[in-house]
Amino acid sequence: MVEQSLKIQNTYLKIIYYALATLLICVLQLSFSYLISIYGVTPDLLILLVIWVTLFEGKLYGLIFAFSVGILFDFLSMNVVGVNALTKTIVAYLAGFFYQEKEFWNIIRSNKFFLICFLATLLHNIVYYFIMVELTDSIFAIYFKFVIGSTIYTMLFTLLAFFFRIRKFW
Amino acid sequence: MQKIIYFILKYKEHFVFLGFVFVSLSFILLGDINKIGGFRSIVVATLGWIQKRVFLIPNVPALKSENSALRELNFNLSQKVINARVAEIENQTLRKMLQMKQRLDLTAEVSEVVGAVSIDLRNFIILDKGKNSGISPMMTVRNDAGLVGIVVACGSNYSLVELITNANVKVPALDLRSGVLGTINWDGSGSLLLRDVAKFMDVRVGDTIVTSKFSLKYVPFVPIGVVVKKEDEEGELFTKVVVKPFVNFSFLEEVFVLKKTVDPELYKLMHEYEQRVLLLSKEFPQKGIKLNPNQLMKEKRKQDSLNKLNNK
Repeated sequence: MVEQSLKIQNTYLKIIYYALATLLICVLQLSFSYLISIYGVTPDLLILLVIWVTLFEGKLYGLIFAFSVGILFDFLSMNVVGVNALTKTIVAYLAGFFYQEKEFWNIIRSNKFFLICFLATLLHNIVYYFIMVELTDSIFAIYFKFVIGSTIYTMLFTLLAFFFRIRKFW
Repeated sequence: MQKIIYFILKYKEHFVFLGFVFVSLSFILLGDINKIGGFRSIVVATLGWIQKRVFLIPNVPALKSENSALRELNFNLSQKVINARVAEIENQTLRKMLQMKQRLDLTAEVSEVVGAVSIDLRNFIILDKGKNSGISPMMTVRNDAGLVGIVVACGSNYSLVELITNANVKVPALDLRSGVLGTINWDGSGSLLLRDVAKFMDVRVGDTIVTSKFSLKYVPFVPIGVVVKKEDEEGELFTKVVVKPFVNFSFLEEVFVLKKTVDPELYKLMHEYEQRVLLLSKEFPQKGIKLNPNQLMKEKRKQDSLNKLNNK
């Protein structure tokens, strides 16, 4: 009984943490991303959060979290509603194939994490900019600039995962 | 049923994923479609392909819209065709005028008709060139088809041309084939009459009538028209010759002013003689008839203004 209540309490705590992390990233993404943008290319930190949650909680929870976060971000950013929801759901679906129970920290500390992030970010950007790119003469140039640029930029933030490999850091 | 539920539960992640994708796409399609460039083009192209390949029933609203667009396109194209035809006609006219100007022995000033006026039942046209372009009264005006009239008054930049379609205008004319002389005069309808032609003279239908070299005002050998009818009336000495003018007087756009005037001395002489004849022919009022001084003053002013116009 006590164990069950602890589990419920733990679940609530997790929801609160994820919600806080989501809000924090949304605020950073919407208010301060222009400070670090390079030629209009900005990193998408929500992708990393979605991957993190999916690898930690599993495919189903990851999908629900991704869709909710995506919808929330669409409303907050006043973007076309559904675009981020779709792309984040795809990220969670892809990341879900790498989910292994109780193997989260091993995955995070391995190179697999970078591969997952790279594939998920690339797929996310392919779909996202495919929908959002404006129909102009240099449509392909703009498309590849944003897809590749944003993928590389987001991948730079995954390097933070190296801290998890340093035992002394913990 | 259990199997279906088991199947759904087994692959619940995939079903959830498909559900979220469906919901997301629905949101996107319901939202502001103008913001989504690539997606819109793919959706439109895909729907078009499906419509073309799969659907057998025609899309009535789409067909209506297509018909409407095609009608509009048709209208625009027909308008362009008309414009092209007008331009072609204009081009041909200008080419003719250019060729004729090269053929003319006299120097001619090309001028545009900018207006038409009617003064005291006389028809005039206004040209956009005047004294500044070397135009002066008594110059013959013609177009590529034939004789139009004569310049009667000139400003610095405008000229007034009296058309030959005035009842009081008489143009000495010549039958180009037989050399018979006559006088061209407007009959008040659409045709000209070649007057003073005796019945026995050789004038036939189809003969070309030109200005005579005996004219004091008009340049000789300017085409006037073609004989279309010849009527001999009983008891009359002269025959009635109907001439159809070459010029379409209802569609005058550009004309040539031939820069040749009659010898001023000769003109003055003729004018003085005319005035004298007029004075002689004028009947004096009989004794006992009251004279109206206002009427006399009006006549005097009218006569003075006419004299001034002629002197200019």
